[in-house]
Amino acid sequence: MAAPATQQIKIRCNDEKEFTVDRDVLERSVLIKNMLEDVTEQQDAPIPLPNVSGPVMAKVLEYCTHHRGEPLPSADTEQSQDETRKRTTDISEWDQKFITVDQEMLFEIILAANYLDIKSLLDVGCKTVANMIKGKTPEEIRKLFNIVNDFTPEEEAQIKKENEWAEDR
Amino acid sequence: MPLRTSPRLAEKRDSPSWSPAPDSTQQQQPGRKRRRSTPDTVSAASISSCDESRPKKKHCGIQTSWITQVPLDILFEIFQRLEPLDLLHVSYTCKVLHSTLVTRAAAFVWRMAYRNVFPTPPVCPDDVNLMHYANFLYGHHCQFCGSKRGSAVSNDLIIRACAPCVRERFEAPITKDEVNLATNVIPGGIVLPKGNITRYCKEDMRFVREAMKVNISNPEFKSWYDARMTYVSNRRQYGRYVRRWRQDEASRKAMSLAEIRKRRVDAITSRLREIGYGSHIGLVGWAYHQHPYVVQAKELTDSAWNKIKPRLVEFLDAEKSVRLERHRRSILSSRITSLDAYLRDIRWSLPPNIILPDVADYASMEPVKSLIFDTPVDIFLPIQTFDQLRSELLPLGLRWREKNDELLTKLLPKNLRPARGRGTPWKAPLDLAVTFFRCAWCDEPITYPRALVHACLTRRRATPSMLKENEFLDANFSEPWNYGGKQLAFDHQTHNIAVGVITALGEDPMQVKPEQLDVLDRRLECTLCATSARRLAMRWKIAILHGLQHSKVEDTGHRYWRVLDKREAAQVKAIEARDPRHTPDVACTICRTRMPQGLFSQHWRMHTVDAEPQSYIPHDLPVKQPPYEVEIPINSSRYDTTHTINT
Repeated sequence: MAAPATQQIKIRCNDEKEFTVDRDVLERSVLIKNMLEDVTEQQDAPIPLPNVSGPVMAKVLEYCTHHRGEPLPSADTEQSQDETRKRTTDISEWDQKFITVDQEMLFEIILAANYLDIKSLLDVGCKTVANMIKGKTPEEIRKLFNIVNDFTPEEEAQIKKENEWAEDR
Repeated sequence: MPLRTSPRLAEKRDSPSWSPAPDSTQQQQPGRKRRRSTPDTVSAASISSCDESRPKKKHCGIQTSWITQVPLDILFEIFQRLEPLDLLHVSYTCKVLHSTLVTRAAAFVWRMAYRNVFPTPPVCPDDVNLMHYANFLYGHHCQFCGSKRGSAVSNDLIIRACAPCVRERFEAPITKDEVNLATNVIPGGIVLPKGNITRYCKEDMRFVREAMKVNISNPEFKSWYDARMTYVSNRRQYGRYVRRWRQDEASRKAMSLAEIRKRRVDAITSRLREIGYGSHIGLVGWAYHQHPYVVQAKELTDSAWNKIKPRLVEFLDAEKSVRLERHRRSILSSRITSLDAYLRDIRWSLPPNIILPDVADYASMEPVKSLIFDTPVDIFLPIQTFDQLRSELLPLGLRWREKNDELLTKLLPKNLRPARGRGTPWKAPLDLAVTFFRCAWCDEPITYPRALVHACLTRRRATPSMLKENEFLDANFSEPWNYGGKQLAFDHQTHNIAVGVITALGEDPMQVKPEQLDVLDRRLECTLCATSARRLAMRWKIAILHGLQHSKVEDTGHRYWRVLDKREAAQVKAIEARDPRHTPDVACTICRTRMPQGLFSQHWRMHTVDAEPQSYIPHDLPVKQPPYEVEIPINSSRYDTTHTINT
């Protein structure tokens, strides 16, 4: 059921923080859009989002507000393109500025985008991480993401010389 | 499967302040979005067999990396945007990510990664693993030992190896037959970088040697050989694709590096402009663009800029001071050029044979020195500026000559030095016919006053480092006369020979002047080199130079010289006069051109002046002047080796 564009929807995050947002902004999230379409009557109770915290939701809403009104990618076209297209890592200027956050927040945004099913935001998050990895040596990647090298020297030499699928061994 | 959240959320959930939503609310909550259709929905972390049992490692007091805890679908979403080499590097970081990427389930990520690169590499052959292929195309690890020095590549065999492994596992064919068969039945060999020997896999070579034992007319061998040739041809075709791709990739990489360099230069230039160094960059030019911090093919980040900024500023400041110094020196040099031109005018206005210091000597004397070197470089000094010093230039020249005459006198041996305080003119011994000097640069005996104008003694000889340190030497194109005071010495050897020659002529070597001997114009014969077939006669100066050829003879004194009698001398002079070029040099008073005296009257006619020909003997004439030694006609007198004149 189509709702008026000015309809205000309440959402509640896992830290009890509540946001009242325009419906068209919230509908950037396929998850919430489906929920709203499933609910026929107007309800005053906030929509609980147990996997998203207040600060992260605030960032997500900033993104959704900026991109409100843009067409959502349809599932079919996405599916068909997925297999063949070259995955670019170009990010628009606004998105780049938006996603310039610390790694922890970036991680939360990606998880939230995944949970809320906001494909474009998930793309921005993944592209950002991919850009961070690109062109770096293993040591630089470890340093960047605080990864502990848990290979023994023998294991390290072994993985570099084998380069085979795990099941093939 | 437990719901995976970030460490931060997990922490909050575990903390006492965490209050889950009421059950009723939870029932209304939608479930977590279903993961994408990856083959396995388990997390990256759970793939590792030791993940559950292994305690979370801490690094520098920070929790385990979030990237190892991201749900697999998100991780793959990220990885699909990477290139094969990036994926390879990610797989080398830790066990969790390695085990995520080496599963066959991750093959689609690798395939996607190959689509992300341009130029797209040839499709990975079916019998080659995508990870192995990534290392072969982009990596640098030896596939045999895992070392980082896997620089030898075989495009036909799809092998990347290090030099020791190549030497261990590959061998070169020895005999000609082996070479021929190996090049036909083995798809490809491997050549070490900077090497030129093609080596083949030892297994293949063993196979070749076995094949050589088989009778080639055997139909089985023939069919095998044909099949093998087809296989080899296919692999080689594939190798050609890879080689072409490598060329494309190399040019793409070069272009990409050039673009990155350009962006870096632009970024650094723009930041330097912001801090006021814009105008210097253009002036520094090449040195700036080749500076190690500028020329790098790396994007400029804020932290990198902060690191290189002080050093670049220091470099530009140093370049600026060098440039200003260079500018100052070029101005000083142009002033010296002006002074030289001005002195040339003065010399032309004076009688021709006046000895004046060289431009470098004038530039080293006050007040000329102050005018040139102490006037600020932004003040232009036209040639007319030196007019203010005109009246001082001649006195300066005289003082310079007196000083150097004194210096030359000090070089004389004690027996030639004048006794001081007895009224003897200070420079008297310098004029003697037996006074010779020798410079450090040529072997020619130098008379006085030629020593004051000898070219070797004003030639610029400063080393580049001296020029760098001394702006006076750098600005001048010559050096002050006898700079350093050690370029000239008394020539004892020539002096001793001259004493012998003059004694033979019957004159007093401690009194006679060159001009007096020239007036006498006698001829001597060297008895040391005279034979019954050939006898040489010469003037006194040529006799001195000739005596130097007998330097191995311990005593070249007067008894080896015979003075020719008048008849013989007349014959010799007649021979000398046959060639007008065999006359000593003179210079024209009008144009100051030097020429043999015999040609001067002809030259004078060119000036079309109604005056008697006027020439002068220039000071810088070498001792060796015509007429040179001539052979005495053999029938002019009977040769007698005992006929010497002893005075």
